[in-house]
Amino acid sequence: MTNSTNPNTFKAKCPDCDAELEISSDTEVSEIVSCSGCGLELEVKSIRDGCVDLQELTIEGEDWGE
Amino acid sequence: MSIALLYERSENDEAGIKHTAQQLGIDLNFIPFRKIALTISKEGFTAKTKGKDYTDVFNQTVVVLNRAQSKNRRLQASYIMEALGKKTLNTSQVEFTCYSKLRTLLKLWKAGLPVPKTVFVPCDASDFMKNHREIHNENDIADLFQAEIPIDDGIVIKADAGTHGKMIMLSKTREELIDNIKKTKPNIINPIGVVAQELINKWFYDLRIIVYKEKGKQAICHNKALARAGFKDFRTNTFLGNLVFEANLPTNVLDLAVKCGNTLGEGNDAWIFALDAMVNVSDKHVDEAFIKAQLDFAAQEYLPVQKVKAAETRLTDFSAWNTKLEQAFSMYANSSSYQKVKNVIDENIANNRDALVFHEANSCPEFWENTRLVTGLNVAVPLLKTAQSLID
Repeated sequence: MTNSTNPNTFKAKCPDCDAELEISSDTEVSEIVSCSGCGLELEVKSIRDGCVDLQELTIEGEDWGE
Repeated sequence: MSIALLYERSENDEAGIKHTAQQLGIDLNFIPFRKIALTISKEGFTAKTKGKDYTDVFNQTVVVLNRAQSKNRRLQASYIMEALGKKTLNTSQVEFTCYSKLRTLLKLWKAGLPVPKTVFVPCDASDFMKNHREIHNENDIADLFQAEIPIDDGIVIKADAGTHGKMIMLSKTREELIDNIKKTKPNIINPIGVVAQELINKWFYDLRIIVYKEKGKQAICHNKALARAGFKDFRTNTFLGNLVFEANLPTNVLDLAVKCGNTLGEGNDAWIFALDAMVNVSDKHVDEAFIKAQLDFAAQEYLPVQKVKAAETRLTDFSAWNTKLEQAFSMYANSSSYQKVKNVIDENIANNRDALVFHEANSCPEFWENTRLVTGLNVAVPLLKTAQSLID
């Protein structure tokens, strides 16, 4: 949804920590944004009618291990 | 007074821990460790991301379930949290041991527990002199390995801190051995030296065994193990596409696993491990062609499980996704091919019960998709109960 306090941003929620995020309205699909709450990198999957769908990026570190 | 789940990315295991905590009525704090800046100064400490101050969350936390996926970050997280007065699961001492296959094996060997014959050579495959000239040590290292393990039997080189089968290489000739030593240059999953092991004749499966200890109680080994099976590769990791089966553990194996846990837990009040073990099979009591055929059938039965696993609904509706996963797995586990392979594994473990070796201990095991469904043990339950035992 377009942010009423700042029309140049959309509001979105971090899928992981539920933080309210402000996404710049010129953001393109597939751009990577970062959650200010948890720092997670998120991919913009779609922007429809001011609604931004964010999805956690799947990454794997070199020392990812059990 | 609370338990915090420290993680880097909330993957299925972490989502499963949250889901289980809700079911058990346990409140969890969340510490997304990856981008929290920890500052220590004469004023004390702060823990902040760019947009949120986690200092209060840290202060309220008594026990930290350390689920950082990076082994190095997990090690740092445990030391940080302990320095801040938190109890950790597992402790930094345990993380330090489990980080390294060699350190784990040394502890088990010292305690008289069965491990594969292992050779460690501290030098690296090559060194650089001050004048940038490269000195090659591969031949010397290969000679040292071959003096201890016949090459015809197979020599397995392992990255000391690797998981998921990464940088585990089998050599059956001198040329392969030299090549594999060359590949084992110092890196983040093999900081120094080269580790080699005898090739265990594990036939077509290995085992993952869960052991845990709550404060004030005796250690427990779950009586069902996760067997990872396949003929595709000498490595049987599920990460490499092998199939999973339930395996019944004989009493002597349960006892050995508890001893491994107590050895690695080193007197800590509480701990949890997934032990990786192989059976040195001398008695292949069933025709391999039969097993291969059943594994092929089972692979077909497993396809719906893989389809659910890959579905992105796990990110949007974990609970609904989990229900579908459990249903798909139940179909697979009830298939005739699954039962036939399981029976072969159970019988083989029973026949070779005194030929088991432990080769790795995982301090932060993945469990939601395989171990839980196969063994019936939701590892999140002992994880959370063990954490609670440190508060009570």
